Amino acid sequence: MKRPKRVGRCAGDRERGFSLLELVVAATMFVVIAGTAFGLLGAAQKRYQTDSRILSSFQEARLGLDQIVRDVDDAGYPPRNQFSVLPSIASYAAAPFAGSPNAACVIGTCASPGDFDLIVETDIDPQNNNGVEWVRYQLPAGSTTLLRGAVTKTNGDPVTTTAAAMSPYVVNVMNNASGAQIAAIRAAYPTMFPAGAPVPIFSYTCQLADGTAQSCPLAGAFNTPANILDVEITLIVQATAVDAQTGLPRLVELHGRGHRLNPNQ
Amino acid sequence: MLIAISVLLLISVVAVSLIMASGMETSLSGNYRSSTSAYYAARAGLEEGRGRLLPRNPDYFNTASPAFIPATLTLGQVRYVTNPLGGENVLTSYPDTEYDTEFGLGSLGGATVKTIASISPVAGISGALYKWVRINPITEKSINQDVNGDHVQDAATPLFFDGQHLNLSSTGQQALEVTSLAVLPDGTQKTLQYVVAPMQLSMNFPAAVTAVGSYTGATNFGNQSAGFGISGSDFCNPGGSQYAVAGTSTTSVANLSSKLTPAANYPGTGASTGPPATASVGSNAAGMQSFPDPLHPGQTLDLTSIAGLNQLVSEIQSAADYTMSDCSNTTNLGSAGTPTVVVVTGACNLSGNPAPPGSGILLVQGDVNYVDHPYDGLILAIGTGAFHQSASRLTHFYGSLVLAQTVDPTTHAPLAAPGTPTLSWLAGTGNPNLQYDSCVVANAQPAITYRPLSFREISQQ
Repeated sequence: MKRPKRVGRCAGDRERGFSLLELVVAATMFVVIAGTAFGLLGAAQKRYQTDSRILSSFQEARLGLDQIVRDVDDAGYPPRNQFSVLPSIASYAAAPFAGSPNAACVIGTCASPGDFDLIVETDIDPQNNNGVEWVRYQLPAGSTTLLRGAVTKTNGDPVTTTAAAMSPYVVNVMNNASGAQIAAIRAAYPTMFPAGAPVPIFSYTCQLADGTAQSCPLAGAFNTPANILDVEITLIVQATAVDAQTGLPRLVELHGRGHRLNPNQ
Repeated sequence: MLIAISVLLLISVVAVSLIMASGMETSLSGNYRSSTSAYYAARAGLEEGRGRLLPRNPDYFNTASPAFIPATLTLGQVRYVTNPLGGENVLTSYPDTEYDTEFGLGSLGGATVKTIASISPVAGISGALYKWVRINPITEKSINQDVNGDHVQDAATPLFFDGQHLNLSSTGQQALEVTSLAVLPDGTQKTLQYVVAPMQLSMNFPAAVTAVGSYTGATNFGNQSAGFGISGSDFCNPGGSQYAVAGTSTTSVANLSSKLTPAANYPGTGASTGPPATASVGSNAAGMQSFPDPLHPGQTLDLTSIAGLNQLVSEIQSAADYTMSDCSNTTNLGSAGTPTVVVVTGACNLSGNPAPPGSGILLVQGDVNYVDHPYDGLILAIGTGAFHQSASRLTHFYGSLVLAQTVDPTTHAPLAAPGTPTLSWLAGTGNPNLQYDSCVVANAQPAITYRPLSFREISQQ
């Protein structure tokens, strides 16, 4: 009887399995590659987490900057020229930017507007019939939290009136941080904060009589809140997490420019 | 095999993590960039709408589509500038819900709508990404303001602008609303809105001839013959009257009066038939010292001073349609239908009887040599301050003439104070030869721009 031809291995063949050495080598290779891969994964995850926090900080700052620019663009709405008979003070913008202690104060000596304080006078929601608002942005000295507040315009002092409405808006804003914080940043980034001085959030361009613009400190008699034409905004924001690789603080400097389009009458 | 799959899996996880991280950063930057891009795209739309309202714009709406913007837009007349990308219908793809918000539900459906193509895409190159620009009249109700303080928001009366304020009494020029919607490919939208009104230079010199400065009487002023005359009687408004000749100082007025004989040829404010007859000569010093600044409402210029006169010249230059060295190109001098603002830096020789005569604001820094009836409107001879009629022909000018000498007529060196103005007239034919005309003066001052009266960004719903 003819034996059927066997397919596959038979017990009698010399079967080749994995030798111990092969298994050891393979296992070693797996451990090395897997270890490397997991190491990379861990580093990537760590980087992802810190970057997410960093980006979250920067995104918050960018949104804040966008809103400031938008408020400056809308400053002065509705202007006086919309009315043949002036309504109550809360129904129109007497000037695009409120001044404190008074509207005629010289920028540089005003409580607002200043390097870290700006009060926009505009109707932020015209269809709601709730009048003109004072929208204030303030970064107190030594603080790293930019505050924002909006109140209905009154006959009172705009700084005093808005004080109770201020609430945190953008955090970790380092422009007006404490001396120690600025020094720490300069230790990592020597070109930032020249001379260790705070960096103004707001700098202003004023409109002269002939319609041209001039940096407000050089604008003479026109260096007043009503004549502000452009507001240059600089936000220096520090992330809550340090750089995963260098261990240095992560900062971003954002710039924006708001341009008033409403008249300053 | 198992090892390879495992390794690939792990590497894939790492790669996906890295891609996610970089993708987030790209996304964050992109969102911020889109917001700014949409804002400026919408601003571009506003500026196209505002700019093309101006008749002197080469792309003036009514040039491309006659009567697209009538002299007065009635309520319910809505105009759109459309700027489609490819074959899209922007008014259906991006419907204008804001109009109904302002004018009431269903208002747009009942409106008379006309559209015109944007000039944004030029030579096949795509322009700014705004979709449409709407232009329409406004009411108190639509802008949600009580303009006249009567505690009622009128929905039926279009608003006008009198140079200082909006009003419901149709005083001044009609105020228009310009609204622009921009939509970026990623869906980011911005809607911005202007209220605009035409702005004119709006200069009023209430006299047929205003002689600024110190007229000493040493030279003739006008012609001493019986056939010459200057009239302050308002040609288009017979009941109205101004000075035939106005000076800016007591001495000038006295010296001018002595030259303007016979007095009967100089009718106007203050003139009398006598006896003795007196010519219409008076002082407009107060008005000239506090002359309303034509470009800056609410401010004044002292036009009795060199500085004030130079400022006026500077402002007219900034608004001029044409600046020429002489008047040889008469096609730039406009007409009553299309007045122009022209600055002539040298002498200006005008003659002939074109029909219609040139019209507008003509600022001449050299001498004006004028014969026949070539021009009506507002002639400002500020510089050498001289106006000559130099041929024995019938000559007329209707409007208002201002003479101010701010430079030495020989050396052209600047003067410290306005010098002696000159008005010489050779021919004695015709009477009056120079006549004040308030209608001509008003019509001669074209809109130089549509000024934004207010601006706002409309929140997205």
